[in-house]
Amino acid sequence: MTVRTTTILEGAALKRRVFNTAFILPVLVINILFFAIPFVKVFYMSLFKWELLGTHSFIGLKNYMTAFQDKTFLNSLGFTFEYALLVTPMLFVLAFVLALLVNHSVRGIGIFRTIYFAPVVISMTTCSLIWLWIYNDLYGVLNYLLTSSGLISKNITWMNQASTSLPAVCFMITWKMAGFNMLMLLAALQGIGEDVHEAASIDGASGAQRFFRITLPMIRAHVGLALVISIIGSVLAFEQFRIMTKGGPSSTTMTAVNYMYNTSFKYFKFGYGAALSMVLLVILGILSYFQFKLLQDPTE
Amino acid sequence: MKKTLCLALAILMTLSLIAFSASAETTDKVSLEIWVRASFYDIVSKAAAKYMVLHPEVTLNVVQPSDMSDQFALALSSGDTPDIVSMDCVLIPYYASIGALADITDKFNALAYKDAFSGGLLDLAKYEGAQYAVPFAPDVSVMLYNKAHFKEAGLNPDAGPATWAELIDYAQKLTIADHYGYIYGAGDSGTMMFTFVPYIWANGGDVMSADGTKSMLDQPKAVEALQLMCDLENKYKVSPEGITSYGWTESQDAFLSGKASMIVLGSNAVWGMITGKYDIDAGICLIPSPDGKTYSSFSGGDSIAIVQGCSNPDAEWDFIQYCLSEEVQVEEMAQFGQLPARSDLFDNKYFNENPEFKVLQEALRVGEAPYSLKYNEMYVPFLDGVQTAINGTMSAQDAFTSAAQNINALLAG
Amino acid sequence: MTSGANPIRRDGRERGKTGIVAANILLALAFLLPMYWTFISSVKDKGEIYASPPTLFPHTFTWDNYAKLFTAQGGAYLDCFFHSVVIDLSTVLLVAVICVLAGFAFSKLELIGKRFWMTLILFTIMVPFQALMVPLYNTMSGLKLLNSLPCMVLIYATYQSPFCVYMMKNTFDMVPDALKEAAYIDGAGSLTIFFKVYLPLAMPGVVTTIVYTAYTTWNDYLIALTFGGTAWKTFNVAIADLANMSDVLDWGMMTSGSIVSLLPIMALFLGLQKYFIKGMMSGAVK
Repeated sequence: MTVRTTTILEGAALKRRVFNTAFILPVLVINILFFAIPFVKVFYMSLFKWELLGTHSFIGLKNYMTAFQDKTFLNSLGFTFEYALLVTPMLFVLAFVLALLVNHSVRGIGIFRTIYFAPVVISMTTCSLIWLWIYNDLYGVLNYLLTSSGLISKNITWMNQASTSLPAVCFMITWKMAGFNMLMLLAALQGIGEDVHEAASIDGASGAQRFFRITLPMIRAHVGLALVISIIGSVLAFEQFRIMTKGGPSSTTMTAVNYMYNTSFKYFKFGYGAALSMVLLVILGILSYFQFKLLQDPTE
Repeated sequence: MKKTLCLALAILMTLSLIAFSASAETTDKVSLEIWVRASFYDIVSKAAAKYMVLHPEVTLNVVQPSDMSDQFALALSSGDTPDIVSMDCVLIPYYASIGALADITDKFNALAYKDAFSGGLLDLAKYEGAQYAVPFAPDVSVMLYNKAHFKEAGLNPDAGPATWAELIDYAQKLTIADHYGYIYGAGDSGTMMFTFVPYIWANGGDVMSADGTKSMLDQPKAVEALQLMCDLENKYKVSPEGITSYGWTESQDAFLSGKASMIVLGSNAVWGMITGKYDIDAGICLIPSPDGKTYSSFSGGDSIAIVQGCSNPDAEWDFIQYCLSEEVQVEEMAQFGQLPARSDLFDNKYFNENPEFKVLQEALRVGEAPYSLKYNEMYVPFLDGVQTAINGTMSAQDAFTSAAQNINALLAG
Repeated sequence: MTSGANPIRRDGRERGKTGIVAANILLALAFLLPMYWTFISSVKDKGEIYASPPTLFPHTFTWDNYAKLFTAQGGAYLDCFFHSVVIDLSTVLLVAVICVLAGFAFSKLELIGKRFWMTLILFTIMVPFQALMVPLYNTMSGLKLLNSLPCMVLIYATYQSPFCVYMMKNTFDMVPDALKEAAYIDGAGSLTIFFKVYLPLAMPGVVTTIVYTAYTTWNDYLIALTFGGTAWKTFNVAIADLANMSDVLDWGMMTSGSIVSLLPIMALFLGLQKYFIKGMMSGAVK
């Protein structure tokens, strides 16, 4: 770079930065209008006893105090994290396997990619309903297959207890969402040039070594993003349990968002519901922060 | 240059989309918006069409929001409410209590047929002595049974179980490898309210005390009803194991696919059977009573109300009255299997053709409905209690005692 | 695996991959099973759908359930399908443009408060939408935008941008600066660099963004339900209504609706496959 006087350099850099802001302006404008401002309103609501109509009474942090003593809420948090911890590894192992399998320029690979991706495109609502039908213990096709092939002797009541419904739902979600993570990992793997692999194999590295020592570190950022998105999605799980287990029995499979939704829209306690979502947000924020820190490229 | 154009385009698109507003509505002399639940959309649209012919100066827009209760709550929060709303009768007390509905006591008392409504449904539409809604399209719970299964089991296909003893007996005879005797949806509180609480009422018990301040679930009469369900499940094994995971759909599907012989359903199902929509030849009877003397049912369905702060209460009441007239209640409702809200219209040519409707009418006569300002919230401990007892985690007495405590705590808080 | 011999054949495809293909075939078949069940259920007649035990090959075969999608309620489902298409295309267009730009900026340009904006955007995905429904509904009501196309598109764009922006940022991050230098040396201007160098290399990321936006918008239930009303009811909501709004769930229509719902996005995805080309980088650097 040519040497210039300080002020001119700063002026030019500043002007460039301001101009560059235009690139992010559209995203920011809609974000502020339709997310940030409503969000501030939610925080505001959480400090009140907010009924549907009429006056709202300011109660400060009382909603939060109630939340920390609310057994149903705490149990729902516990269940939600149990779910996230179970489904995330299932998702990523499968996603990696799929991504590696389809990261080849073989004829027809597009069809395989499409097949693995297809379940992602089904809406969560219809997917949950159809799988609920499949899992039904009286007339569902899964029990029929399992009993008629002799694998089990009695129908399994899949949705009747958390010990079976949790793995069952995780299995369904894995089938449904692995294709999406596969796609993200594929995009990442594609960014690694063939020459890198060639150089490595010339140097004598094995397939596994190349995967762990070269591939993984290079797609760290992508894996990190996929993980964050996936975990947030799992923690915010709503429809699948609401439809398949209805949160039961006895609220043992109630997810946090499900409880928050009921609080607002079924029990009409909007202020308390707002507080619950704030608590959830803080938890997610902390989680995501640590995730990003862990997966940050140390060279950055 | 291209870069700046691109940016400008993006910004322009964003701004223009924001600035683009819905086109202005043309306003007629009177224009009313009516929200109904999906089950009754056809009835109200047809009524509205007929009404608009009779009253050309009125425009009616009938809408069926996909999730009526949630959408109505949202609409209230921003003041974008409809003029008339037809909603689940059990939610009326709450909405009346927050001032969302208009007081129609005087209008109602002026009706010639005001005594022809179900007492239970009318009470649900009251708050602190004033009337806020009118029963419009009732739904009652009755028992349906598979006649073919009855015949195979050697039971009389023309008579369903009348007493608890018969229920147990029949269910045992009906439970074979292929199907269970009795099914219900213990996974969902709405379903249990509709199909199970009548057992408590018929037994002389109740969920809440008459003034709605205390829960009566821990009383013997209520516990006995729960014990019946537990016995059916665990002692006689006539109900499926997974029953606490079934909602309305699962239990009904089980009945429709012949996996269960007896079930409590509503008027819609009755109409489905009568019209042969489903391949089951079903019989209908009242929900079994403990002793064969007192019967009960859950009288639910929709009540219709005027939303507070709307444009034209008189025009709205006029349309509501039309919906309660013979023209609608008989020609649009009874003809298609929907129970009329007015008992003075029960004697009509459509119902007289089908004896099944007598059962529905009787059910409405003996029907009750629980009054609560915190309906949805209260029934969580109720359902938890039912589920823990049926799953054998707690005894029926303990489960309902715990439920009553939780409900009382909720009411106090 | 391969040493010495060039793994790429002359026609660009890889050799010696029969094992890969076989593994793919097996996995693909396993993946298809639930879809198979959905499809055969959609062509069974009502009696057979309720048959117990369930039939694995349909004994009856009828396109009725698909026909019903066209005819029911005076073509209502077709209208909803059309709504979904319009909303989807508009959203994809908006999101693609603004997120590629923003992602590029976050990756390669100097900005004021970059870290702050990035955090704010990431924040968006951490708040459950259910919590924001009431205030956002009030905002839209105040702007008189309820039940309109702009309303839905703007909301979708707001809530899908975070992921897309980050995706594009990561994609651009992977493009080495060496390319930029080389292009400058060759005398290209910055705009040419963006369109001729960065964008083509970022295509897999762009495709991911497009596909993500397309299917997220298509499948959305809550936003469509709350803000679309009946004026812009989407196909997904219409199908879900089969479960929520009627007494008995019509499994025939539910399954046929699900299959039909799948097709547009699948077609899009299949069509965009060609942008996933291995080794795009290697040619460029050499």
